[in-house]
Amino acid sequence: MKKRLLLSLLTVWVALTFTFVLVRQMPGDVLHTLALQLQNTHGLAYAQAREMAKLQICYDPDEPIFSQYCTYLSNLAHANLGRSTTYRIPVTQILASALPWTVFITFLSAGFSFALGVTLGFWTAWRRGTWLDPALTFYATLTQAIPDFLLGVMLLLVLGVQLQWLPLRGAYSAETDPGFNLPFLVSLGQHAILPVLAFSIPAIGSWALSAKATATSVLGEDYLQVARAKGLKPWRILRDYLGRNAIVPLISSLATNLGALLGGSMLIETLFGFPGLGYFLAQSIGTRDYPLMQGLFLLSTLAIVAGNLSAEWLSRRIDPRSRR
Amino acid sequence: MKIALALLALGLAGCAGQATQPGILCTAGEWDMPPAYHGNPWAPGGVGVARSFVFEALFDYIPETQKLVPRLGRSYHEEGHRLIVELEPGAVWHDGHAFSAQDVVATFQIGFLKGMEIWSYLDRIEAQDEHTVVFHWKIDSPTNRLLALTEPIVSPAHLNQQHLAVIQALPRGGQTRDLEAEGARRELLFAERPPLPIGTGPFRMRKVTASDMVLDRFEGYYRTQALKGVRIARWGRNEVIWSYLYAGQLDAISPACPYDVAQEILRRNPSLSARKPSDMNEMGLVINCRVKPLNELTFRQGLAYGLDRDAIRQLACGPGDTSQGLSLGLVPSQAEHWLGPQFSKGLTRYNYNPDKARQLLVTPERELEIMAPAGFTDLALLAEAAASQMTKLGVPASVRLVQGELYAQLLMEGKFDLAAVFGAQMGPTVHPSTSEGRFFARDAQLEKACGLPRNSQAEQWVADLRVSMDADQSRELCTRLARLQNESVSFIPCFEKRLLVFVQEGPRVTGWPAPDSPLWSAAPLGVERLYCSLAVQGYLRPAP
Amino acid sequence: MKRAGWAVLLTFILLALLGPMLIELDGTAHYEERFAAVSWKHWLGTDYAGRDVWAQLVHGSRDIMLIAFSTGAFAVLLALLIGVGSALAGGALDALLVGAIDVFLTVPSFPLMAILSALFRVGNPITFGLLLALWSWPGLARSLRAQVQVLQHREFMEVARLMRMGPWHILWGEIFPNLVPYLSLNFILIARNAITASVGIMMLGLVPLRVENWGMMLNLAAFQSGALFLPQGRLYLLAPLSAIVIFQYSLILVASSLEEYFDPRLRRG
Repeated sequence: MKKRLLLSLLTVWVALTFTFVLVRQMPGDVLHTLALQLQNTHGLAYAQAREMAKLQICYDPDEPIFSQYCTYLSNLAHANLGRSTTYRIPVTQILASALPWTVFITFLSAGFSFALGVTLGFWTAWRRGTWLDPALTFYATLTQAIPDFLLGVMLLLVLGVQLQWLPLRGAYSAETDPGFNLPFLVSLGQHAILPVLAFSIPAIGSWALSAKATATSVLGEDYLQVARAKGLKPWRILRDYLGRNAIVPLISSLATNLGALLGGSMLIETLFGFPGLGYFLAQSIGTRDYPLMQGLFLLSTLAIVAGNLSAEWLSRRIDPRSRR
Repeated sequence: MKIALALLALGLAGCAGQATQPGILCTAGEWDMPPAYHGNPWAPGGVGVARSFVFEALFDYIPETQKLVPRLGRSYHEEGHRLIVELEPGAVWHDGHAFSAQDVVATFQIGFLKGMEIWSYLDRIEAQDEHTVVFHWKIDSPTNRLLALTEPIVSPAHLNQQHLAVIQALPRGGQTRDLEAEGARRELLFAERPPLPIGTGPFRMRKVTASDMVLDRFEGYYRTQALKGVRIARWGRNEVIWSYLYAGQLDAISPACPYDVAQEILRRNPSLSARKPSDMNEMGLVINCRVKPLNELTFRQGLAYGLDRDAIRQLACGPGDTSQGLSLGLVPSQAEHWLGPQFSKGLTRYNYNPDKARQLLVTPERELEIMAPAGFTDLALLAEAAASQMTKLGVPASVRLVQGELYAQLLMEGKFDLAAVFGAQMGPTVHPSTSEGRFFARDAQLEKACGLPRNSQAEQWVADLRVSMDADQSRELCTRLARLQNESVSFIPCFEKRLLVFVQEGPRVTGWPAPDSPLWSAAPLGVERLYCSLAVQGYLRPAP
Repeated sequence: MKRAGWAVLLTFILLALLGPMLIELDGTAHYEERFAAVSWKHWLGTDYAGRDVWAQLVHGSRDIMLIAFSTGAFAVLLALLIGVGSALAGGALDALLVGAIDVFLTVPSFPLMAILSALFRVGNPITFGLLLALWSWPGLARSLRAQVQVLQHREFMEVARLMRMGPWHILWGEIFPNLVPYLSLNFILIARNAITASVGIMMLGLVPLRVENWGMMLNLAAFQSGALFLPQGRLYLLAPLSAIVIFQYSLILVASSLEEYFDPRLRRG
């Protein structure tokens, strides 16, 4: 395990270095655009305007990339992710405020859809040949074919506008104050439903399909036939035999997915005005805010790597046979 | 499952949370999400859409009647090279401090650091007494008055003393400016981050979250103003706004919206109605005249004859007005005003004529690309409609969407064939120097895009137009520029854009002016600013 | 049911091969005919610009299928190679490959796509598929590795090893059949995702906008034209959506019939 940890750190470093170079090579020169703007508004020569623009966006592309990288690494060692060039506040401050919201909504929806989807999938594998099978497949195909933004707007229209059951936007009502008080917690719950549904509806289907496929390969096993012949209750077989053998790869992909989800929920967060990482990711890409972009990408790298590590750890705990 | 049901029950129990009472104006807009949000109007990000409600200018301008409606300014008069403004004596900042001439001075002084256009013409600004402010011009210009009178006053002098002393000492002359000192001061100015903005306007900010801005009526406001507050929802996406309109959640909003969707919204929610003021800009295709075969004038003329602009307009901007085959560098609805009734005399009119187009066009060796920024529906639709028409004319064309940041760069570097753009734009002063400047001024965006050889004479004409106080001279300059623009066929205008402003009579607010009211002509100058102005002018009242 | 799957898939393929020759696509706008209902002239109505929806579906089918299949094939191949290879090799190579998978999983695709879009223009659907596949394989590779690791400790593997069967035999005879259901499912998921992802790439300008791409049709219906908000626009919204769903569903049916063919244990009475 220690070796894996070290390897993961190495992965993080490689990814971080890649990302560092990548974001700086992205086309779309903000500095140039701003300089042209300043040139017109302030009546300056281009060179002057460019110097001024450098100061305004706190970024100097003329500095060699290697020296920028060294500065970045040494800052990183002191847990300093730099200052956002557009918002002019420490990147850590933005991450600290947005991360909990994204974690809240992703964990809630991933947990919900995983539990429901995997149960459904196992049950369908067990009852192969009944109407459940095509129904589940159809559900999964349909919900996944609908683009996520479209699903979000549909949910908004039906549950928010037509039925008026749920609040339309935000993470909590502006009339309440965040803290440990009942009105806030209630409004938090109400506001979470729409985004959780938007995430979960397609995810349930894909978990169910994966679970069904994994379980099907296990179902052929002889010991299951034995268990069935022994007259064990289906629920027990499902849990003790099927579950145990089929769940390992599923958990592995759950952990992987969690990591990926943390980075990319841009559309749904914008749709519901949710104060998570997705909003800041979209903004930072639009303004080429390198420090913020890098901070966000670093966070999702860490999440993915942590997800993978915990997946491995978990599968070792659950399935002793995969220990070497 | 139990948890889900419990959550659902909770949701059903208290969904009335977002219903708002009569007297509160609901609209939508953009602002930086907390924790990035701040109340400093100068720092990047500004104060978001709240700016229009929290701050106010000396006067509100109505382009159609050319009237100036008093706000912080009571009256003004001009004496030689001076503009003298009498201020409202009863005005108070939201923190209780009295408003004075010093605050106007402070705003323009700090504005120098941000490159306010007015400083090209302004020599100095002085507070004559507590409630009189004087603008001393170094150069007279037709836009001077509006630049001074319609700028929002955002900087209370009592909170900016430390900046003012330094800025006043900065050298102002073109060559003698101290850029380093300016930059250092700007950094200090930007570093201030009050949690909420402080203005003199009729609404005062109470709270901002990621999804909502809550503003209350400012009780110390110097006029009686009937609305109780403003509630602003995050814009998110246009689809979200359409949903909110279905739900009757917004009282005033101007989203991009296909014509059919607008009709459907109006049908579904009968308390809504639409206003369609001109947006004072013309959309069309800019042509990169560097590349083959677009470098040939005849080919460009062929395109100008070959595009059915009305069909493009129908698709891209239902309420807009189709351009009539002329590219004047001016918004068509303003053409007669600036060029006189004979404005089309001597100009080639490129009316839709596919036969003539086919004679002029040659089939190029490759497929042409029309670039459009991703996310701008009207520009993308314009590009798409034009591409399919060109393909049918025998000039194969496709659309390429690019991200906004890249779009601006590719445009200025000339790395495209054709691009859907905003052409003529009249700007906040509604003066032709702005829109002609987009084509002919030094470093003008559209001139860089089309890549025709620099025309220093035209550049001089624009510079002259900026400061021309003589109506006949202005007309002459505009006419020359319009001819140059029209005959070069570097830009094919398609339509004059119209805004679609939805307003809702009741349940919260009533009193919206009729569709033909000249007041709506102020919408392109900032539609939220117009809502606020209507409240102050006494049009808007709480619904009974 | 299984036969229906084959039939539908075959119809799609025929449509993609022959359709564009038989049905003409008029790309220009006919505004007055927008959002038309189903008729003899317009089998599936028209879109927001009055263009025939059926003709667009037919003309889009070839590219869509090529993109979907090539993405799925490239991604599964890569994942199989690296995931299974890593699990079987073990030791340092395994560690290295896992590291490579992790790096691919973690490096954000958006900036890379943005850079590529400034450098290249992709015209050919197969290249397009390869590009999309680059982002689709790491997750699959990871879970394949986990699966193979589990399989390796199964009883039958111990037996195979005791019987001194060669590594190739173990791979093809014992491991591969166990992976088939999982692989075919992921092939389908990746192929379907490719349709959605191609929209994102068009939005970045890496490939020219094609209104007849099914994913793009759906996107245009939902965004540009607001068809979701219009009663007369439902058909235009549903047409590409149904096309994608039916296509994917037929793939699933075909896949499951293939699975049963490969794994006789799954056949029922």
